[in-house]
Amino acid sequence: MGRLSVVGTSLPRVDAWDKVTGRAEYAFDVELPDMLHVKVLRSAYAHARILSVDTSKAQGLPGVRAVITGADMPKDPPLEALRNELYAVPPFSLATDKARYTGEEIAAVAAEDELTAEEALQWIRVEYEPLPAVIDPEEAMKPGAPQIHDDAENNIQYENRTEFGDVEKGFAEADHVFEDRFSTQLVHPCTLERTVCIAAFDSSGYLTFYDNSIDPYKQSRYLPKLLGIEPSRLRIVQKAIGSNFGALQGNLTPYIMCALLAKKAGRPVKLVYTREEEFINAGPRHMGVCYLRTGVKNDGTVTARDIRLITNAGAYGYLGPAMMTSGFTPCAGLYRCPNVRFEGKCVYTNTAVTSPYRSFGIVPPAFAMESMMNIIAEELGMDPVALRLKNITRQGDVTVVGQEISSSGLPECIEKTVAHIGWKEKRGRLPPNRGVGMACGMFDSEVRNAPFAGSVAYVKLLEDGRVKVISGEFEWGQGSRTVLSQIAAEELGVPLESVLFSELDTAAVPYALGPYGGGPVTLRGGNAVRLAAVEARRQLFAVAAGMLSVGPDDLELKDQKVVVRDDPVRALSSAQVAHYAKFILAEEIIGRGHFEPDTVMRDPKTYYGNYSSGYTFTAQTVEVAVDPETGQVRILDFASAIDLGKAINPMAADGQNEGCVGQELGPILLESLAYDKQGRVVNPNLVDYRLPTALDVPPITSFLVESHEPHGPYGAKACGQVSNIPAAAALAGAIYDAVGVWIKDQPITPDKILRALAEKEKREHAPA
Amino acid sequence: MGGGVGGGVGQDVADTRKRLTVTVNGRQCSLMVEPNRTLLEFLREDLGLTGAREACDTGGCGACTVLVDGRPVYSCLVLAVDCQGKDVLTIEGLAVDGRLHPLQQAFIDHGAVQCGFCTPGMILTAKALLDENPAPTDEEVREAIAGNICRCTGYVKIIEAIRAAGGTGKPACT
Amino acid sequence: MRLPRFEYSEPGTLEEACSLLAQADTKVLAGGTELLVKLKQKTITPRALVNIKSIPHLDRIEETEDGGLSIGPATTLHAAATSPLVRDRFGLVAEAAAAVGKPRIPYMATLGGNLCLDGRCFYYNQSLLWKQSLPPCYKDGGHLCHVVQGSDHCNALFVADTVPPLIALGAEVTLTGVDGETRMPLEDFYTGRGEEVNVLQPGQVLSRIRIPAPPPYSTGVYLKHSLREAIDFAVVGVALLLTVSPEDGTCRDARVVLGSVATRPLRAVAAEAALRGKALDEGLVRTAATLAAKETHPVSHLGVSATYKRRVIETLTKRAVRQAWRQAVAGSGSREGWR
Repeated sequence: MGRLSVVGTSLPRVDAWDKVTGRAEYAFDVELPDMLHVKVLRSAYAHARILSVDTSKAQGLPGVRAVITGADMPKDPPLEALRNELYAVPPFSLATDKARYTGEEIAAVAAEDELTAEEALQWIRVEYEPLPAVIDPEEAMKPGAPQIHDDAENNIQYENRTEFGDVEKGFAEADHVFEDRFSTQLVHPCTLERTVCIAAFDSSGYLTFYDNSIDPYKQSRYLPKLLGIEPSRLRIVQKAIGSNFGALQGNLTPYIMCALLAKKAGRPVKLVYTREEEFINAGPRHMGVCYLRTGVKNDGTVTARDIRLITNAGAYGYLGPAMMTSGFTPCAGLYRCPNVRFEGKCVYTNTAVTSPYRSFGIVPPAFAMESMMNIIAEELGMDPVALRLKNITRQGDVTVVGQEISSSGLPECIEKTVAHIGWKEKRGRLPPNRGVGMACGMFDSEVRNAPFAGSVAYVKLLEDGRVKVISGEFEWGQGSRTVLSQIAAEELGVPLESVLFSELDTAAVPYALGPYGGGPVTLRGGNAVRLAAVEARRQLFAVAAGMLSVGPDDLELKDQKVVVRDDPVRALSSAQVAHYAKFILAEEIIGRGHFEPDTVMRDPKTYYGNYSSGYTFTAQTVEVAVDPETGQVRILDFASAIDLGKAINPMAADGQNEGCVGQELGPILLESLAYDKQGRVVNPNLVDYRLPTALDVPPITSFLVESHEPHGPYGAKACGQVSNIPAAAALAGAIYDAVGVWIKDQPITPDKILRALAEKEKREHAPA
Repeated sequence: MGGGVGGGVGQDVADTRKRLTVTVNGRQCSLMVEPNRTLLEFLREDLGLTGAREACDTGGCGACTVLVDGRPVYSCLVLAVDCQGKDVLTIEGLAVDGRLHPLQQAFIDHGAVQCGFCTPGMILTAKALLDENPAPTDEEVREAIAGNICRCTGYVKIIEAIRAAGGTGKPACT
Repeated sequence: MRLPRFEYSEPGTLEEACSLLAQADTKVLAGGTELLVKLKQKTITPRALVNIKSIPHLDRIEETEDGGLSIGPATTLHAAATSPLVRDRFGLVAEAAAAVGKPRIPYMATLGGNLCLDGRCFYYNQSLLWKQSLPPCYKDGGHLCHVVQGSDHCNALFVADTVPPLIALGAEVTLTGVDGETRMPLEDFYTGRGEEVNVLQPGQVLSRIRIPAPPPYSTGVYLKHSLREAIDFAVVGVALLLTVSPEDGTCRDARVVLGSVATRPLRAVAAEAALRGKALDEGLVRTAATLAAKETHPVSHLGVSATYKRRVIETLTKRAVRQAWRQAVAGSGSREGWR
């Protein structure tokens, strides 16, 4: 590899101009001629039998063009076939006999305008027989709890137990055994752009969707089956996306409703969720309860870990089992402890279907494990940094669960953040009510969760010398198009401005896996684009060699010219060559790149396997001030280092790192999707659901550590969803350092801190 | 409870529209609008200025921020008819002859844009701040933009960009 | 969410406004930051809105002959917060105005609107669709409260930031109706009933807010505690007006008013009594704060327990008294006394 000129440079985003001028077009902005507006009637109860649905009055309302209920669903959709391909399948339909959460779809209306559609909902009569509801997964597991699905005893969707090494022996070897319970709450990704789905049939019955989902390929793959449409007659088109952090990946219900309504009304329809619908329907992050036991020797060596994790699946099973696997394995791999046992249960509850909001399932177990590492250090009188350095997995290791650590810059991440915060001078030495904390994290850089785990891209050299990247990898705000364009620009020697990127149209671009953070796009997509660009360059040289009557090996690329190396006056511009190739040879210069990582799927039972071709690491330190009279936590400084292998665009990578931390501070300190006992979300708006504002997020210092991952393009691996993993434990540690109490359930509210302080005071003043 | 949420165009209702004369991005326009139209709907649907975004719809996120007589407001909570005779600036009116406003350029150069949905509201809020206080401190920027939620950036680069545009920040790292 | 249809008018005079408002199912539109949310949610669907911002001079802030202030109800919170007339002598009002939905709402919302703010609760302030399966609560015309099971009254919280400081200062409001004007202390404007928070009748407009000149040697403080640093209502707001004897520094009078703890703004009368006539010291500060916390009976609303509210009332009261005391010692209180 020669010297890099575009890769490794902090260039502005390719879509920045459109976004700062307001011209970027989002699905929200798409308007089609003659379009109708859709509103959805949702279950008013968290758990109820539906006795009847009468839409006759609504259908007769002026301006209403179509109404559908569960009875309009295609008969016998091949759900079983889908179940074999996915872990579990939500109903992907409107509820017919029973509603299992408040917000479940019961009927939908398409009308001339939103207000008419909304009014029509008031005229739909639903007869319910309310049933007792259960919201908490531990309650739902108890005998006698309301049964949500007939085939799920004790509401267990999925359970698994796996053990590595000899855990009992590990505990026997330990000098101390720590045991505790940690929990996290339901939180919502709250993308600013709300869910949008537009469906339009053309005159020949070809169905086009415009949407902003995270997963158009899953949609385009399964919707034809569910709708009974030939796959070649359905496509999904995406515009700019107002961010996506994983809310209800692959939810097909809005598409089905819109397709049915568009068909019935014979006109295009547009569904835009209200913010309330986002909260009650569009998948929050699952809450998790983690019971953890850890055995440790006097010198800090961790000898055994026993993890019991309970998560709520919500009303329908979906990605819960996947989140369990995905959450457990990096937690197990972060430390060298050879004896690990894991027992996980996904439990049905009467809440919205939960989904993998940023860093796929790892937050509940990571909060528990990293908090416990801090507690262990405190109890052993060790520095938490020293405890980490003693136990962390190192480059070259094969971890207890089979991850092959081909690169790790974790020690450097620790070193950088610890130095930034002034750890040695500050820990335990700050004035009262001030404290510092730290924690670490690990996540996969991509993942094999299907037979195909790679990426395909085409790179085309256009007749004017510009380069077009045709890839199905998604841009939902993280900057993937910029990074992939930088790679194409690097290989074809053009400036970034000369790279165009294909619009995402599932009928026109290669299949991609997509829904998985900033990482896979860089690692998988980056490798594919690089291979495609290298192939395009080979073709460019082959054509130029013919034109210049030299061998391809005699050529080099310089300033957008193909130059004869030994005779630089003989040169052709790339544009000349591409023009010649297209119009004279009628063979366009187009390289195809196919990347398939050398990984295996995790064993579904043991979870063992090297499922990612690179693992990303992070370390964080934080300083806080706690007001002991109000419980208010003020974050004074936050440092986050990520080992991303190689920063293809350091500015964009810093943005991912900072943004990931800033976002996670919400769930840690402020946010909670609050269900009342009857299963209603009582804070479904952006005033009562408190997202962090600029005054809630502290200055965040980002460090990028480059460990050069051999499997990544230019050494790069993921950076988009690792910085949120240790943040809660780091903060909890800092709060302990400040005021001497451990908060073990998120969110860490002022109320909980005051309660813990009161209990501490009671303990300390209790007679011995 | 049946109906009665106030019907839409599907229903037979008398014409209750009012004439609205308002200056938008320096151009005066005069349109008949329904009183129940928000300024945001008026801008997006009647004038086709879709740069103001609708995100929370209830004054809790700032994505719909535009400047009315130089002041940042949540346009989702302002009636269009309430802007009679006022001067409205949207993101589309910020660049002059294709030349970006320094704030727009700074947002590009500093990586302050990710998904971009909050960007127009954030830039207009920043403009109102810089018009009053050309050299704000970090804390003053945070105070000013605290009514605008960004889900992507953690605000770090947004603050950098605003301070740079105001001349008190550090240069972009390119 | 779209706004429902409504009739809309822009009266030119108060009289005109009153006669429009006397018609059935008509609401005042001023800043709109509360009203339009409720309309979008169809929590209420009034037949007509009357925009009072069209009435001349309703957004004026003027000094009165007796050294107080007269503020028009259509004054935006931002104008109130930045007006030198308000800032210089009624700093606690300016602080509170700036804190309402900080930082953006003050540009839109009005002082009159904040005074007329309705009670809030997690069941009432929801969309019509959200409420489908709920029997109506007291505030929706029913006979139960969803927040406190079995409660015989509505528990919607009164959360307006500007009201506690105005009551502490002894402000008065003028209500103009078709039958003429009524003046009353702001404190009496509130009913204490969550379902109907204030005494405004159909056909009446809150037309003026008068703040008397602060007593000599007085100093005021407003402290707001919220869970988020911006775009948030108060968990607790504490306003204090402390009058100190210039001779010996004892507390001549204290008015402590709490917001967000009950269905109305609440005077902490036991705390006031404890302070009145006493020499200020740290022990007294603590006693007063404890009394303020004890004499209130907050209800647990989502995410904020009653116990926590009490702790915050105690803390904020303590801090408010200390701060006012410091200001008094530094002589930075009302100019009538110290300059």
